[in-house]
Amino acid sequence: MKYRLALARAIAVSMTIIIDLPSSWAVLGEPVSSVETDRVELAGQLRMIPEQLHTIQEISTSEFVVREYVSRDTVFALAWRGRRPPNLVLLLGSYFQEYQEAAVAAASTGPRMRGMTRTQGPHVVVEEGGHPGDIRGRAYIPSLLPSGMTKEMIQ
Amino acid sequence: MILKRCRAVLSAVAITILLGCGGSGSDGPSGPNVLAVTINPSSAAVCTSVNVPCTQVTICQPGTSTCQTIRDVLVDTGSSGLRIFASAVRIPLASSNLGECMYFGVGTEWGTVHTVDLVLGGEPAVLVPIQVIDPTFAGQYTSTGQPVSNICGVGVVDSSPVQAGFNGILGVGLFPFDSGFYYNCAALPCAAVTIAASQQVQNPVGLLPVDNNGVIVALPSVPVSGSPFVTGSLILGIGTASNNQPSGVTVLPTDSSGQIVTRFHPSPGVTTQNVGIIDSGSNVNFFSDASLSIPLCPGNLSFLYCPSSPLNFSAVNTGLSGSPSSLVSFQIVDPSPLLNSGNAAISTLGGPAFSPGVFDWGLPFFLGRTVYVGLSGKASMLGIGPFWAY
Repeated sequence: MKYRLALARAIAVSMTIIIDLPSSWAVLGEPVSSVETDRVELAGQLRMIPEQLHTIQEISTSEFVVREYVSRDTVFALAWRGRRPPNLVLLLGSYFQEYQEAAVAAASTGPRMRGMTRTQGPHVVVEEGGHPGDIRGRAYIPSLLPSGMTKEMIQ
Repeated sequence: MILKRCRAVLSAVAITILLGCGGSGSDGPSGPNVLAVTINPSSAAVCTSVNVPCTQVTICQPGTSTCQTIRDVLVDTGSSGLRIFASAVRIPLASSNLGECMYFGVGTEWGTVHTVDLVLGGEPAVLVPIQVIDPTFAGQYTSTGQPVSNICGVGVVDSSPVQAGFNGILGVGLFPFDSGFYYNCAALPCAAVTIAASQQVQNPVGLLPVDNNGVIVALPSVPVSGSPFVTGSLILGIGTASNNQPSGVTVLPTDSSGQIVTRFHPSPGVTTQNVGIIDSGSNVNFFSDASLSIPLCPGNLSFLYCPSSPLNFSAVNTGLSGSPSSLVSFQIVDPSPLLNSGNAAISTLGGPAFSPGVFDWGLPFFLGRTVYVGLSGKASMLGIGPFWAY
């Protein structure tokens, strides 16, 4: 019963993401607009984590946690972890297209290695891995990483 | 002796006998609870890529003798439930409006859920929901897996046996259910639904009458240079038959996500703590450490380590509660000459875990080991699952 309740809530959240999110989600490579709106849209909890080189906005839902890395008012990286990935169409914004094209190109060259993978487009890098029940990933724009920041710090 | 055992199970499934007793030409186990596992068998149309262990299963229309044997199915200890590409299914199945997104670490499967009679080896058939992978179901993806409505919210989904490298995935992992996300697509757009556990895609092992408390994956060791093909076994049940009695193994209980603790030694005297997973569906060992500067391979192998000379590492796996522990040594070698040689079972492949703190023991870990997968909630002489043992 408890499981069912959790699942129902998870489904409600996923519906919200798919249907309601587009305009206000802070998207990779774009300015941070309304953090509070994001939190409401995701029905999640927001936590601000100030770091030396950047700020992390962390939004937690029952299905996943997304961390948005912000510097100079721009989201330069994302990291996620959960039972499913967040909707990458929304999170990657205008970078989704190049990610998707690179992923399709990689898939068309033959079987991909399973386990962990790195998809590199002209401007964006998306790394995915984990296993069912604990899906992990990160996306970043190398040219926007603050100096002194490495991709290993995005997690 | 081996011949005698084979004859004893002649009434089971002929293929199992052929492969289990004759195929390897060695003393591999045999019996109705044994499925042959091969890497790159000469007969395969798919399942020919590196470190992809495959077997075959039989699906039937429920309660009928309308059946189909499906070859070249990935044996995956990292997931639960059977998934078969729609293009590989030749028997008619009742239509279904129940869609599912199933997320793997790499690769996403979209398709419908159908209940079939599933036969594993010479075991009695079990009635179980499986996923039929079909990117075009409910207009979500193109036939090549590119997003249309994109219900799973990903860049691409697996689209065909040739693209994925197998006809399906047999998930025989630690858990009875699959952690997938389900949708009612009777009307579009598809709507997320909560369905009863019995309707969800399930690990078929737990439904077997006797050999239902887990599985054993046994693969032979290979030379450092690799091997063009290998034959091993997927044995159903732990301590339930004469051929699956464990002895001298270390049992590592996992947490509720199937994770153990892996303390990696990137260099002498240095230890880093990682989340450890053991996954026959991962082609290589994935690990990282800030202190490591192993070059990555060029081109489309850039997810693999390409050291200029062989590197020797070790790590200690520990169960959930901090004990027991088990030291595992492994080697990483430049894969280019090995891959060019056509070898398909290679124990020295490694790649970076982009997610720091995750250590993924992939197929190389299984080569030369007998690995026990203790199904969650089921008891055996090794304890109650979930656990790994080897």
